[in-house]
Amino acid sequence: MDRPPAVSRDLALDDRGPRGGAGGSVTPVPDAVLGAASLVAHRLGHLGHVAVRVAGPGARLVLDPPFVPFHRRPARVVDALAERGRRERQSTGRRLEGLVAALVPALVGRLAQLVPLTDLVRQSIDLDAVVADVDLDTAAGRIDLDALAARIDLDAIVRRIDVEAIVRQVDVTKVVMEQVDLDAVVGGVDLDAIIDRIDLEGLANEVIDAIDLPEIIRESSGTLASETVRNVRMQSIDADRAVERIVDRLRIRRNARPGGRLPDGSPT
Amino acid sequence: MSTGDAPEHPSTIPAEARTHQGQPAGVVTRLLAAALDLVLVSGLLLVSYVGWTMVLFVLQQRDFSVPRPSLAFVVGAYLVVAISCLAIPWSVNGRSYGQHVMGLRVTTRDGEPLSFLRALLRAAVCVFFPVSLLWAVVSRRQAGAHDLLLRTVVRYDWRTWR
Repeated sequence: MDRPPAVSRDLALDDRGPRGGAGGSVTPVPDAVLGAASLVAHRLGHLGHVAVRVAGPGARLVLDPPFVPFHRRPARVVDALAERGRRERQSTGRRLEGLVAALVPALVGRLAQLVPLTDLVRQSIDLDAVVADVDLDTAAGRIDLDALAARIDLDAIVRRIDVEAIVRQVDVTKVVMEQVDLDAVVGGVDLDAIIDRIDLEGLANEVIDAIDLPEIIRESSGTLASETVRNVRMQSIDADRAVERIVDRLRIRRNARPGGRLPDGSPT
Repeated sequence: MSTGDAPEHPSTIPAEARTHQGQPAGVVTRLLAAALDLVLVSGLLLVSYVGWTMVLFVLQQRDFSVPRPSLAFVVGAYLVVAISCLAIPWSVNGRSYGQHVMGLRVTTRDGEPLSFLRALLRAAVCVFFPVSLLWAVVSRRQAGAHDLLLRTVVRYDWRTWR
């Protein structure tokens, strides 16, 4: 059996794709043109490779003839040209970088003005899915919270907080009743020391002074004699004051007696 | 007003009398107190006479007769009993029985209790010249003549007996 020509072999190799794909019911013309161009390019590349291999020694002999002084060989000229080209390329690259650095920010800024990026991101990107893929624990583990906290001016933050307003919203009584063991707190209080600091005698005297203790005793004991004596004493005092007023009225005394008082307590 | 070691405590005094506590006593109250003292002295003399009569009745059953003491003896007994009934309580408690009932107390002008000698002299003056008390009517300090003489003061004092 004879071997197929090279072109037929290349076509057979390249034709395996369409056969196993869409079924090839209609011959796609663009694909055929593309296949022809690919075949031509493949051939040209093969020919170029062969040409290089054939012409390579000759070209090396021409460019780097051993009988010509080293610095006069054409290869040196090529090297010098390559060096110049390399410098020019680097210089051009730097100019291009400067140009890009100048243009890109302005371009991006203008683009940001023209395009609603936030809305675009919201519409185009499923942020939930993105965030779900993020390992927040690992990210949080990488954060140096101590250093972060050291950079925060807590005093300034605390000064801006209205603690009184917060406390007003908290039912402190309820919190204390639920969270504090009041029995233990009271048990730790030195009541004796507190009582020692209180002037119990003075306090008792104030209480006794505020009430009419003799009246209470008199009512509880029901002593008729003490009640009679009391009435006699008060009536005699009233009589004393009456005598004083009469004497004053008769102008026997030029001036009122020092410290003298009427039965109602007013000065004479 | 202080009478020595007894601290003044108004809570033991009825409320209506607190404004008068420590004020110089008027003549009416003092006369009533003196009258009570006179009743007491008279009662003591009468009891003494009755007791003496009963003793004589027991000892002299056959020729018993009611004793008739001389006027000088009666006056002498009255003076002794009266001065004793005033001087001893004044020096001890600052108040006689009549003054205790009426809520009075006798002190020096400084508020100190009377010494026995001053109490004895005051009692003697009061017994011999009872009218000296009437000077309190016209006195600026409610002081009787014996108070001016012995520099004493009678004040309202409703505190209980010490």
